[in-house]
This record gives sequence, C-alpha cells and structure tokens, in this order.
Amino acid sequence: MPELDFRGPDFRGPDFRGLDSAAQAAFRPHFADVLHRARRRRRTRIVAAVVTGAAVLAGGGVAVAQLPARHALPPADSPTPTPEFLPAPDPAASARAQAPGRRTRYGPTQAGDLDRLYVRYGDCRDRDCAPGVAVSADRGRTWQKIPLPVPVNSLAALYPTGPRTVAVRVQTQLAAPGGTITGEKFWLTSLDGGLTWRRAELRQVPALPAGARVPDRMPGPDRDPLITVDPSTGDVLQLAHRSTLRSARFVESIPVDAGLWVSGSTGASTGPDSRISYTGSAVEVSRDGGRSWQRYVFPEQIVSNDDFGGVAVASHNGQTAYAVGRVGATLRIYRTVDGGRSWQRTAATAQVGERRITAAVRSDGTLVVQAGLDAGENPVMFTSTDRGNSLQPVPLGPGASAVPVPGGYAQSGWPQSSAVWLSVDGDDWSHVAPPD
Amino acid sequence: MDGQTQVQEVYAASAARLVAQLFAVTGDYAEAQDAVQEAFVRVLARPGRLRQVDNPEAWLRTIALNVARSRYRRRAVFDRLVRSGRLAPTGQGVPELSPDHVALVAALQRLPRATREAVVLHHLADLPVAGVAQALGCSVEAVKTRLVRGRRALAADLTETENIGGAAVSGSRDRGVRHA
Repeated sequence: MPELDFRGPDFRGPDFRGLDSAAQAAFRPHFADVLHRARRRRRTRIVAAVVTGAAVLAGGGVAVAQLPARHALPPADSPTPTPEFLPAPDPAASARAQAPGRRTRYGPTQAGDLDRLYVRYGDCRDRDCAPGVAVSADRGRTWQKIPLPVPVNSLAALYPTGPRTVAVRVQTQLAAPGGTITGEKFWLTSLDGGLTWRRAELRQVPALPAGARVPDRMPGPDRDPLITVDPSTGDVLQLAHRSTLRSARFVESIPVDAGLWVSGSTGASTGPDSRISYTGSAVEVSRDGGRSWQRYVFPEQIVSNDDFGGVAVASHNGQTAYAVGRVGATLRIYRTVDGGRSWQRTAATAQVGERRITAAVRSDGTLVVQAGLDAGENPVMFTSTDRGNSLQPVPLGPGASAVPVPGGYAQSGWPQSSAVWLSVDGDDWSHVAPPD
Repeated sequence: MDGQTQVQEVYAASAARLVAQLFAVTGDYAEAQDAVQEAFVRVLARPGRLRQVDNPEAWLRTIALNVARSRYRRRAVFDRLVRSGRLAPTGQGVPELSPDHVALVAALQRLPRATREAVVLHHLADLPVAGVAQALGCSVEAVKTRLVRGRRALAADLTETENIGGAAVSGSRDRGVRHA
C-alpha cells in the first residue's frame, strides 16, 4: 500500500485545519487550575498514605519507625503545605486568607546567604499574574516585594548566585493568532539584593570564574549549559559547551571552591514508547571552571532518581565525597577521598524500594541520606558518621537536600512548599516561610 | 529552571493543540480540556519525567488519550446520549464552530475509536503515518488501513450531511453510533 497523505493539495476533504484553529482559539490556558488540581491530588494521596500507615501500625506490621509527633502533617486546607514529612513550626503562616479574586502565588524561597532570601511571586487578579521578587535581608522577618519589569503572566525562574546577586530567567507569554502562545526569553539580573533589575546580556565563556556559584537548573547542563552571574557587570555568563553526560544534573551540594560537579549517564537509548533508558552512571568534575572535565563511570547502573540525573553526590569539602543511589531496590554508597578521581564502594546498604534518593554532608562530615522525597514515597532517613561504612536510621527532618550558601546551608521545601529551611551546621534547622 | 516551570512552559506551548486534538477525538470540548488538564496534573506529580521523553507533547497526548479512553469506558450513559444521534453534551468553553466543523466533529464520533484516533493524529496533530503507528502502538499498515477506511467513511458521511442540511444532521441521525 502506498504511503498515504490526505493533507496534500489534491485532497479536498474535511477542513481539519479549520477545525484545529477554531478549537485552539477557544482554549483559554489557565495553568493555575492544573496546579490547584495537582495540589489537591497530592493532599488526597497523603491522607490515603497516612490512613494506610495507621492501619499497618494497628495491625502490628511496622516496617518503618513511627514518626515523632513533631512531624505531624500540616492542615489539609493549607494552600502551600510545608513538606509533609518535615516539621512545620508555623503551618498557618501560609494559610492566611486573601481577598477573593486576588491572591499571591509564591515560588520556592531561595537563599543568597543565611540572611538574604528571595522568592518569586505572582500578584494575581482573576487570571492575570504580575511577576515579582520578594526579598528579605533579615532571614525572613521582613519582606519587600519588588515587581519585575516584565509583561503580565511572564514565567520567571529565580537563581541567587551570591548574597546580593540574583538572576531571573524570564519567558513572556503572548497570545498569537490561532490561539497559540509565543514568548520571548531573556535574563534579568540584580546586583543590589533584588531591589533593582536590568535586562542582562548573556555571554558565552569558555570557563566560569573560579568560585562562582552555579545554580542547578532544569533542563540540565546537557541541554542548557551552566550559568552564573558576573557580580561586577551583572552579565549572565554561560559555559560555551554543554555537558557530554546524558540526563545531566549539576551538583549544587558541593562547595563552590571544590569545582564544578555534574552527575548523569554516559549513554541512552529510546524505547518504542519514546521513553529513554539511561546507562552508565557517571560523575564529571571540572576544576578549571568547566573548560575541561574528568569523568568517572561507576561499575554498575546506580541512580538516585528515575526521572533525571545519575547518582546523588554530596560533599562538604570537595575532597571526600559520596555518591549515593540505588541499584534496583538496594541503596549503594560510593566514596571518593581524592576529589572524584577515584571511587570505592562502601559496605553500607539498605533496602529502599524505588524511592528517590538525596544526600548531603553536614559541616562535621556526617553523611545524611534520605530515601523518598515526598510523603507518598513513605520516606526514610539515615546518617553515617563513619564515612559511609554504615547507616543509622534517624527521624525525618531537613538536611538531606541541603545546599551550601555563605554562612551555612539551605534546603528548599519546593515543590511541596514555598518555605525554606536554614542551618549553620546542616544539623540544626530553622524554618522560614514566604511573606503573607 | 525548576520542574514546575518546565511543565508550565510545555503547557503554554502545547495545551491548546492537545485540547483541539482531544476535542476531535471525544467530541466534547469540556471533556477534552479535562483530559488534557489531567495529563498535565499527572506530569506535575513527577515533572522530571519530562526530561526522559524526546517529545513532551507526544507523551502528554498519549496520557490524555488514555485518560479520555478510560473515562469513556466508564460512561455508559454517554453512550445512550450519542446513540440518540446527538453530539456529546458540551459544557462551558465550547468553541464557536462553523456548521462544517460541527458536522466534521459529529462524523468523527461515528468512526470506530481506533480509526478516529488515527485520523485525528494524522490530520490534526500532523503526525506522519509512522508517527501515528508509534503513538497508537500498532503497525504502519494498520494505520494506513484505518486512514483509508476513515477517509471513505468521512467522505460518505459529510457528503450525505451536505445533502440533507449541514450541521443540523448531527442532531437528526438515527444510525449514528459512537464507537468506544
């Protein structure tokens, strides 16, 4: 049978093109509805998990230690619940009523340092949201809202690269004929703690400056090269080359003076359903700002997340580091003591099912591992005080997704919460909610 | 850029097209919007999975089609409504369609489901035959067969429609049977 194509000029069939245009023109995008439904679904799952857990406990089949009372879930009607499995000192802070028809939506709170915090927001009235950045210079005690000089309904992703240096990636949304949405992408930067913003030049460079703070962004560095902000000019500096790892993820938990670390895979294959399977878990390290990279490929397929990236990598000094993930359902830890040049598997292990894995190292060298990132995964947490040779179960709390910031550590509650957790040592944490 | 923002970008770029395609498949604009929204909700639960697919829009289309199929199977009452010859009930946000387009949507609903999906993916989603085969999980030959049958059925149905009065036919046919 010859190849068929009814779309050719000779085919005077039904007006599919016109139907397509009319149906698209009738569509009114409202991503907020999708978000609302997703949050409602998440809360329903959590409640179901809690009920199931209670039933297991009642039946005596306890596999995981019961959470302490301080890990109680936030109220179900909280519009931006704090991470469901983490302490919530002030869950009511984000649940205050707002005027009907008008509300403020917050993104993740991010730390320039332990005192300077930034959170993008949308000041929404009906279906239009005006983007802005709320800034705090006193660890969240007071906030100042600064509207961004961008069109209404623009998408904004915020990246602090220093205490007072912040970048925002903007994509405008403009309705085009036929009901489709088009947009312009550009960068805004601020060098004064978010008070003033200017459109930034994007400059490609062969290497990022030594000691530059590089944000972990999606898509990862295999698709969108690493960036930082030049604190003297406000220009956005972007590496000229992408990572050669597949499904790569920048390792944000490594101190800035320990070089650039990227986790990912060396190969990938596409299945019949368009899904990609990754092979060859690997870590790459650059000590010259990304000009050259040293790759280590692990001897087994170890992943921390079925979604993206390879192993979870953590270090507090850049020399001793841990690569944590799972092979099948078994937790694996690899350790390097030479800054990623060579790795050895440690004896520690645990059965973690298909949970997603994160890891971080406290200032005292304690390795913190969390298996399961949201309540639906029934997360568990471990620490290791003997350089990854053994693991001890510990109560759930912040710390395993910590990233170093000047003065200490920060852990985002996103996407479950707009709040952030702050710590001087990676062990003792305080909770900071966004304004309102 | 965080996962949610990435999903939002895909939503901005693809949601309108997906709704149009699902509308052609289901005949119900509200149902189409709901199926597409449900697809994005499911993706939001694991936004990182977007990075595992070469074509996020194609992946979301597959999810939305599955949502629409499974819902349809649970809606026997809907069957009765359509067997009566009427278009699927439509709620708010119904597109303003010309009589020709109303007739086309109605004719599509009278095609067997597999044929209808092949026709919509080929003509509205602009997928090549091989792409339709991949999306529907069948052979290229099967897609070609469905397209031929679909074209013939639509041509006959729409010709008859023109003869007896345009869009009004969508509410006046006794033999109109919607295929699941």
